[in-house]
Amino acid sequence: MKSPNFKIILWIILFLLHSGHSPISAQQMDVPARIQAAMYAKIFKYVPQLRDLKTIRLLVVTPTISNMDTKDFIKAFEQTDIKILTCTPTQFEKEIQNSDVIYFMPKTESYTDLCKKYKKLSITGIKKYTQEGRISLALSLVSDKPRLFVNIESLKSENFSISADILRLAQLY
Amino acid sequence: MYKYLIITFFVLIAFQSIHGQSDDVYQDMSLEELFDVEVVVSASKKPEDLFEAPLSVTIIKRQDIINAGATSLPEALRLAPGLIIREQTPGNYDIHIRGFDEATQSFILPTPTNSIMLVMIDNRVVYNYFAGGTFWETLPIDISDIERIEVVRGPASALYGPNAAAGVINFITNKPEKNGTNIHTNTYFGSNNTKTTNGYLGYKWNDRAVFGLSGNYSYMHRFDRDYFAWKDQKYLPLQDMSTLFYYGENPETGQPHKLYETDDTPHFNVNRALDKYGLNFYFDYNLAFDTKTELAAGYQLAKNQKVYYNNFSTPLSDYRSQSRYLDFKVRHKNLYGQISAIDGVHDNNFFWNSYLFQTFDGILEYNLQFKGLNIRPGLSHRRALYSGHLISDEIMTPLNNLKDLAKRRLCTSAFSVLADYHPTTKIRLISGFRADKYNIYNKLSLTYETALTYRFNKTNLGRIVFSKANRAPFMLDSYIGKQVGVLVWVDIGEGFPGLLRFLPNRDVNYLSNYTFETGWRYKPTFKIELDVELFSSLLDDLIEMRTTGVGIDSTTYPGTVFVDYKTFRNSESQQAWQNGLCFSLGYKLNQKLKTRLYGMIQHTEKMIDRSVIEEEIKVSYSALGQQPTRAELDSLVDAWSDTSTPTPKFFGGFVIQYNPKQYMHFNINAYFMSSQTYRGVNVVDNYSQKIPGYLLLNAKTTFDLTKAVSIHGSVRNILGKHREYGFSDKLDRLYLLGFTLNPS
Repeated sequence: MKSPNFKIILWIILFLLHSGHSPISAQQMDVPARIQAAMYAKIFKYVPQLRDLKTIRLLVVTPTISNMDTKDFIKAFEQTDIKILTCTPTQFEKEIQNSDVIYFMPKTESYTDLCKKYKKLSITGIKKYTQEGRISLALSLVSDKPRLFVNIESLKSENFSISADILRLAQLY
Repeated sequence: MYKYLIITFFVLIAFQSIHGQSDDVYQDMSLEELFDVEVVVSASKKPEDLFEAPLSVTIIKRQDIINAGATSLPEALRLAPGLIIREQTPGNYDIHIRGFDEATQSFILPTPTNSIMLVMIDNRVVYNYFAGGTFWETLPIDISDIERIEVVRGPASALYGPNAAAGVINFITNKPEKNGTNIHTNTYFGSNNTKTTNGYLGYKWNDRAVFGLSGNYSYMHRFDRDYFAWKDQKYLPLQDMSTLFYYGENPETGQPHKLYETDDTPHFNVNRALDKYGLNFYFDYNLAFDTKTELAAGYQLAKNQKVYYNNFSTPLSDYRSQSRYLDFKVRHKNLYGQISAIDGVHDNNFFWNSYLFQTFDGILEYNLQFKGLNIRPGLSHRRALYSGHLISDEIMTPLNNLKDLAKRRLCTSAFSVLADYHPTTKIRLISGFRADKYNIYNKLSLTYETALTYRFNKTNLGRIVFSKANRAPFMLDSYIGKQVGVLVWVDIGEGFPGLLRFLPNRDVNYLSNYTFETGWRYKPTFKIELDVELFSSLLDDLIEMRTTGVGIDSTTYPGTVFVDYKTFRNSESQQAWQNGLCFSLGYKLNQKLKTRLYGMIQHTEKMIDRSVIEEEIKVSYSALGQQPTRAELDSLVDAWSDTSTPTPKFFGGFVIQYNPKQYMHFNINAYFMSSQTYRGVNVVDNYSQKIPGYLLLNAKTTFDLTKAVSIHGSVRNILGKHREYGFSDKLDRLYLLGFTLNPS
């Protein structure tokens, strides 16, 4: 067989690097989007403030709406009964009032205080934000299985509560 | 049959597409079921539901290992289906994925030895490039370092690199979960001088940095004291053992010299089976939110007796290995880079088998994401430098210092692409391709893998995989020295000694494994989980050490010497087919009682071209000026055409975990194997040893004294004496007591 033309391979790599969309820090969210969407849709039924809503409006705050991770999230939540909205951090304060729950993608954590101000439930796929008290609920892995992380103080400051049935399964901060 | 399976698979997909439930199966699951989904980063290199993994994957967690009472990582692998685990001497193992034991056998490695399985620690390849394979005692880590073990069955070179021709075992080390200090230790003491302890101390600073330090120590005695003697073909005390080397006769006895009467008498530590320790250091630091670095370094020292390189006297040799490693990884957004290096020495009590080694690996990958499609191109480079007597052109003598011998080099540069496509939430297509260019081989080595999965509903997943994987060149194949020759007793009717001369050969095709498999996963309830795979594999381009010419030498040595020139070459006469079924059935009655039964049934058939063997026999006869008769030829071809394979027809195990109280745990586990026939290839004689089927039964009881302290007692190999590996030791019952500390 003829030796490979490494110049061609290099061009292919450069083309792929140039044309690909880079997801933001995919490694930080260890629970796949589809599993998170299905879990949050069910967890909301244990949140008294959301339980009776006809349609829950979930706002995804993301640095780039065209980002593929965000698109995956939107696609995953579209499988549920939840209405999905998206915005960038600069649009966030304007959009927050038209939503019930806010999902924070990576690199948007500096805007989480608005949830406390407007009393909206903050959720994420990054455990660290919940540990730090920035966000009330997070889904992350413990021993390879999804676990719910709840920051009680943050939850209270957003005027939300959650059923003891769920708290029993969650790790609390 | 596979044609019909594929058609059935696609018909089911079509039917389900019309009559399926909701688009995403996770929507049909209860919250309890979702909390039970197992997420791993494995073949696709991104988090995924284990149930949807495209390849045949098993995960063994650290807690499963501790529950089962396994005292080492190789022993823990008995908990995975499709793995053949044989203990050669206490604590020393021979491990194969699915089988194909015969892939490496040669004069240098006279018993079946595995070189077609890739072992990694956190994606750092741990592989011996001298003659292939993994030296399990040289792993610097132990149970306390482990978060989980991922076992991938089937060819996976396109995803993991060369030598993953039969599969991959990846040890994933643990990271502290809690902020602050994290400690755990596990210790056993027992009969037959068994001592094993391992511990981990880690500290975590607010998800910013993690520091870890671990250490392990193991010591085990042999149960036997005798050795199998190749020349005498029976087990003998060391002082009574002869050798295949030609040293002439002892004038007092008129018999060939004993091993202990030779000029370079080797030292055996008769009692010691294994004596090893390892130290590891870990430091992970998150430079920024999306920039993470991981550094690991370590050292190991091991002394053991196991079966590997030929010493022309007995299958067991006394080994001493020492190595240190460094591994650095960086992830920045979607860019992944890893560099690792290892250097050390493998000493053998037969001096010519010793060598020094250095290996350097570099990997760069980038993850691209398009709509429903992930593409991961990657570049990698490996450089292995070895210096040893067998791969040197110097005359073999113990006076030669290993450091002064020429360094031999094997390099591989590779380009790989992995594509992961989700056209819908139910269908997934994953495809990998890799091209390796070796420095000593003038062709590209191409490997590929394609897997299609279809999730029918939340309880059923079907998958099909087609893959090709390769073995890489080894030092021995490529660089065996010009002066390497062995003067041995050869009984060809003339009663004079023979000289074996070995020649390197770089113009060969390296072994390939082509595999097609179908799999089905079924999880109807929380309680039941079934994973079945059906596969068919062709092992092609086997490399053997074969005679290329013969002659008579009456000048170099006193008397007449029969010279047999041998080289590594493709045995066009031999391919091997394997068909098999592997299964794992888990049943969880409740939180107190969990069971799992697993096993593999397989049939391997070696295909031999008799005409190639006939030619070889004719060459040997012509050197003596003779010509074999048809009857002699047929009889010799029959004798040389060994179609037997040491891979057992059935092997598997079961685990029963019972926790009657929160503080009390019982575990019974077993590993069983049907009979095996071992053939040792040594000089001109073939030896065979039949090992009857056996059941290895273990039991362990654990009491939690406090949340942090547990004590445990276990009996390993309850049914007592049996042999697991050809021409090696018998193993006996072991009583162990120990404790586990987990104060963090």
